[in-house]
Amino acid sequence: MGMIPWKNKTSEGAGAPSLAEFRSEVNKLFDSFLREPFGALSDAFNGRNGGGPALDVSQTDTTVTVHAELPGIDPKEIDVTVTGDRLTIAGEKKETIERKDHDVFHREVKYGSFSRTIQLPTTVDPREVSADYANGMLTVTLKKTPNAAGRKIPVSTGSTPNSP
Amino acid sequence: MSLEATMPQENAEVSPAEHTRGGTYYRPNVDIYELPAELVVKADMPGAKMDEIDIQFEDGSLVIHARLPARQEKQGPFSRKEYGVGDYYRTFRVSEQIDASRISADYSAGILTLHLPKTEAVKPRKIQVEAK
Repeated sequence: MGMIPWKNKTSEGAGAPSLAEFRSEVNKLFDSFLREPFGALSDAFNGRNGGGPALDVSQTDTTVTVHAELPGIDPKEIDVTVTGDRLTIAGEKKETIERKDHDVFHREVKYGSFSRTIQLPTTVDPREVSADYANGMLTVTLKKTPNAAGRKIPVSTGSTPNSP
Repeated sequence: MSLEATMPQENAEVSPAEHTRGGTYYRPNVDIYELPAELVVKADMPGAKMDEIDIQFEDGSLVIHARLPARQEKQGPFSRKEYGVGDYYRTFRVSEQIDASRISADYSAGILTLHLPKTEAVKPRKIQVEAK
């Protein structure tokens, strides 16, 4: 029978997360909930390799890049759709074993259709989307719409307010 | 040849996203098939580079290790980050009924395929990854 520790090291002062860290975590949670109410839930439902691929989404000033893990899928069978600020990646994962006279010994990989829709961080131009597949990774590059690309507004200092 | 004997026994020491030896390791999902003359292992290892995949067979253990490059270099802030960067690592215990000297591997579309021909075990050797 295993022993159950009464205290973790982290709960004893030095290593404990600060209140600020906790607050930032809670804020993040609220933030993601407001943006995509059931996003976290549906992700959990999908599982990491289940219903949809795991995704990374990153941005530059002008582009949004989405990376998806899709090993063993024919690129022609992957559907990438942009509708408004939503991106859908769908397809079907099939077994890659060529020979038919096999017995399955051990199974961990999931097969079948998958579809995953995410809300993009900004609006994008649906005509300027490119998708590339290499080594089982799908990379979708989207161009932000001019409005969404963000413009730096210079703060002028020249004129002083007129006083009577 | 019994199934039990030829089945590569999974080594339970490595779990998904385990932090050991100073790095992060992910255990790739595998399917194992038995064909009349061989066992075929297919491992989902997206994003790996062929020359970074290291397969070793020694002492009845088959070790798969692949270093992964950073997936998104010098990109802007992440608005979603669901998979981490770390190496793929997994070991299998292979029965003596596998001919280790003839194990071969290829990598295509993010899937590593290992062919383990059936026969007696032979001496340890390093297995090269071939282009496909």
